[in-house]
Parts: sequence; structure tokens; C-alpha cells
Amino acid sequence: MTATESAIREFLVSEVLYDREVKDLKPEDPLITRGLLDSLSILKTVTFCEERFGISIPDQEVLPDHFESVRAIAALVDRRRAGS
Amino acid sequence: MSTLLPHLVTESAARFASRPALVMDGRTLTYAELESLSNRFARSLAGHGVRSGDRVALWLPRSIESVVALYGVMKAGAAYVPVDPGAPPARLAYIARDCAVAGLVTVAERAAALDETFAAGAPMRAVWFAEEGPSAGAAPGGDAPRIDGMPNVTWAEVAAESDRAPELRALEGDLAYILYTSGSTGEPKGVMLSHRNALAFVEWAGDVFQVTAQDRLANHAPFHFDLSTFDLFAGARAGAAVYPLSPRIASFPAAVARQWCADRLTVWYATPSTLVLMLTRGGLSSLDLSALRVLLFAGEVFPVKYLRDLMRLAPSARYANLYGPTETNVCTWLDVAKPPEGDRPLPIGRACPYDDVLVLDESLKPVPAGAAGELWVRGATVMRGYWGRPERTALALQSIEIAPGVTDVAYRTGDLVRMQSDGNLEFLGRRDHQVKTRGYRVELGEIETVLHRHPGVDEAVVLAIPDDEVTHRLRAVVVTKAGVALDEAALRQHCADSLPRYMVPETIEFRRELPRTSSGKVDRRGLVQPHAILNTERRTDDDDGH
Repeated sequence: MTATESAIREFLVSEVLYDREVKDLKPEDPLITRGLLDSLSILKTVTFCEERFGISIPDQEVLPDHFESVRAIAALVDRRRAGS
Repeated sequence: MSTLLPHLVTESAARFASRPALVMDGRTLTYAELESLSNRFARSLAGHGVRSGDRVALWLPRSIESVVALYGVMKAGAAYVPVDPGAPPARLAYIARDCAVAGLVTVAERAAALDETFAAGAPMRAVWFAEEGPSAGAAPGGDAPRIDGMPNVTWAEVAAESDRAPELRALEGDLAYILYTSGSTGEPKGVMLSHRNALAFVEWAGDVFQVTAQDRLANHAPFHFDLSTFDLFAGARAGAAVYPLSPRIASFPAAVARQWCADRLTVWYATPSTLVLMLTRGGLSSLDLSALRVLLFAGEVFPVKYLRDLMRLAPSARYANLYGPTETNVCTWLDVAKPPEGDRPLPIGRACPYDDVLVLDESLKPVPAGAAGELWVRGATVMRGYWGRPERTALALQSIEIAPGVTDVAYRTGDLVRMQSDGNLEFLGRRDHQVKTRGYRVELGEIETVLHRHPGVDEAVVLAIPDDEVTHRLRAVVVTKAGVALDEAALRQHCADSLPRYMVPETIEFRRELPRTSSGKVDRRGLVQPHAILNTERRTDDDDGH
């Protein structure tokens, strides 16, 4: 797990996913198809990533493909950090 | 024979057999297919012992099959009981026992969280897996799902039934569905609605908003939320195409906005929260809204600045504010002819033709013209009562004098209103601790009851913090028992074990004690104010009774 993945995973498990079964959430585990994220959870996650990693995530990037898993969110964050 | 909700599909199947009834994730089901598949499902239900007057729970993500199941349940003469797909198994179990369901419709992935005891005491005849495709009947782990102690029926078995229409033994006054809403005493209560209740609204709405077979209707609201009755049933009545929103994109305003514009949907009905997020975060302003013909909203107050923005983006569409608690479905409405000016909240309008509204004081007498009072509703959409709760029903539905010498049963909404000089009702607030968040109605007391159930909690108060985009956000303030250390995440998880997600407080704050008014009550108002968070010892003056 990369440092970005690990930070995002920790945030999701403690702040967003109120579910006893996600304590062992893996970076590749599906978030959306299991219905784990509602619209407020996604807003919170975006705000967390922006503040923690000093980036901005445009609304048009907040799409299912980028929130499929911890890995996908981390990839989005890393892309934004690289300035693309 | 009387007209019931499933007859809307049967009639459209006769008139528009090959037109699309449901379109979702690239799949289309025509009216002829919806009719025959829902007949098969009704036969499967009946074949496993579901009878007229029974209840069948639906607990599954939205899909074409979930809509087929809903019609199939009604065609079997039973009432469907839609349970929030995001609700934990404990809440499903509570509802299943409370209204004694005779069956459960779910998907394999969900079944893994259940066992035969989930509805202990309910007369469960069977469980149905409403899903098609290669994953049907297989849990992610690979093992076939199994709820022991009852037949497990796959979609392939349903499809093998005859598609001949089953004999439907039900009348307009019989229950079509039961919608569970938040209950202040800690337990959700089941609002019983009949076919006649639903049809009164659906026929009016279909006519007044001129829904036709050429329309494409968005379906954003989940089925446990009564906004969905317009999408599904006004759509079916007209032979229009209904577009159930894919659960995959439902939480992403930008994805929903793109999808609806790309599908050129003509009729949208959603909560203001949904529409505001599409506007503020969904990039709606850069999309092509030329197909939008009718935009309806309900469930909470629409901040006028956002409504104005929306109306400017699609100036030729028709806009209406619909109002009504689950117990009455829509009972008042306001045609919004032009963008509202100023900051005054939009009125909730006037009574729909099938209902009457009364503004009464505490002694159930009409208030003077223009004075504030509580809204009562009587008429065709008023619920039959709360399932299994005669005493709650008696409080909510009371026989009152609606005109000199005329009495009828009316529903007490708990909403405070005032009639403006133009005849429109203005919504002023609640007379209790019920709030709205994302269009959902939440009794703060229900969340407090759940918090109190935690062994480490001494006192708990849940507050609704006003929010522009989602109406309210929920914050809990908790005092733990002496010597007990609790963390926020653990307590949120405790809530999530029995409450749907939208009722789990977003933040939980721990304090040594709660501020009190001079009469000893918890000072909720003091807690909501930001300064009170910093100054925990502060006591504010008693404001009870003002």
C-alpha cells in the first residue's frame, strides 16, 4: 500500500464507512458497488484529500471511476499532485 | 373491476407493447416485457404461498428487476415494503418482523448478511433473488447464497413461470405499499398506503404535468421514499419510459447530471438537495438541458438563490414545488411560473384537488386569516394508518370538524404554516424535533434513543445544523458514563448498526456535561450556536415557551 493509499484508507475506515466489515478494507476493494459511499461521504472524502494533500479536485473529476476503490482515489490524488 | 396500481402497467402494455417501460444501465424493458415478467413474478410469489393482503419486503439496490418485483408483489395482491437498500440488516429485520412479511426480495450479495433468524416470528414463505446475468445466485465469494429454513428462489425460476396474468384479488382500499419513516420513540413506523391513496396523486400529477408516452422520466428517489411513486406510476400510466438511476452513479452529482442530459430526460422529480448538488457540484450549467420539460421538487425547502439559478439554465421548463409528508403523499403544490425574487422561502402552495388543508390552533379551531397554525390534511391521499400502532394512528389521524357540522378524519402534519393573502401556504417550521436532511425526514429522538442504547453513553443529544446544500447536517453531543472512554468512530458504528446511513450523525462531540436551561431541559438552541461549542460551561437563559 502506498502512503497515499494508506492515508485515504485510514480516513475512510474511521470517518466515512460506518461498517464493521470494512476494518480490513483493502486498497482494491470495491467501494461503490457495495454501496459504501453516499453523496455526503464523497464530499467529505474530497475535502479530506484536498486538505491533506494540498490539491484541488475539480467537481468534474468527482466521478464513479475515480472513487471505485481506495486505489482509484489515490491515483486521482497522485495525478492532481503531479499537476495534471 | 377496480383499477389498482399494477393495472397501469397492464393497460400500457396493451397500448404501447413495444415502447420502453424501463431503461437502465444500457438495458431496456418494454411494457410488454414488464407486464409478462411481473406476471411471472406474481405467480412465483403465489406459488410459494404469498396471498392477497400479505406484505413482501424489498431490500436490494435499484435495478430493473427491483421494479419488476414491486409490480409483481402488487399483482399477487400483496403490499410491497421497500426497505432502504443502505439500511443495515438489523433495520430490515425490525421491519420484516414489525409488519410480518411473507417474503423477501433481495440479491445474493445481501443474503450473505442474513440467516433464517433475520425475520424470526414473521411468516416468511421464501426469499427471492431478483437479479439477472452471470452473477445471479452467486455471492462474491463464489458460494451460492442460502437463507436456510425457506425456499430460495432464483430469477431463472421466476422466468420459468407462466406469464398469464394472475387472478388479482384486491380492492382500491387495500394496501399497495408500506413506507417506514423515522419514529421519535426510537422505532421506525410503517405508513400504510392504499392503491386509492397512490392513484389519487398519480392521476392528478400525470394530468397536470401532462406526462405522455413521449416522456422520459428520471427516477432518482429510492422506492422507500414516496417521490418514487410519481416516477414509477405516473410514468407507467402514460406509457412513458422510466429511467431508474443506476446505484453506481447515484452519489455523484456530476455523473447524474451528465447521464440525465445525455439521456435527454424530460421530467425530473427530486429533492432540492439533489438538485442543488447537481447545480453546485455537478456542472449542470455547462450541460444541454433543452430536453427538460418538467422539473418537480419536494421533501424540503429549496433555497431560492439556487432555484433561481436552475430556472435560468432551463427557462422553458415548468417548475413546481410539491409538498406533503409520507402520510399524505403530495397534498399541496405551487406552480413556480417565474424565478422567485428576494430571499423569502418559496410557499408550499395550495391544496391539490383531491385533498383539503386546514390551519388549526391547539384546540383544533381554525386560526384567524393569516395567523400561524398547524397544518392538517384530509382527503384521498391520507394514509390508512401506521402498521400495528393503533395508538400512534389515533394521535395522527383524528376526526375533526372540517366545516360547520361536517367531520372527517384528518392527518396532523406537525408542520406549522400560515396562509398568505394570496391563498398560498407558507411553511414556518416544525412543532417537534423532526428535521430534514437530504430530503429524508429524521426524528432526532430516534437517533438519541439509539445512542442511549450504547452502554458507555450517559446522555446524548442530536442536533440538526442548518446547511445550504443538504438542508441539515447531523451532529451528536454525548456525555459518556464516568470512567468510560469512547471514540467517535466506534459510536458512529454503533449507530450504523441499526440506523440507515443518512441518520448516522456526521460528527460526534464529547462533553463532560450538557448545557441546561433554567428549567433543567437540555439547551438545544445553545448547543447549535457555534460559540457554545467553545464555551462548554456557558449556560443560556431559559427560552422554553417562547
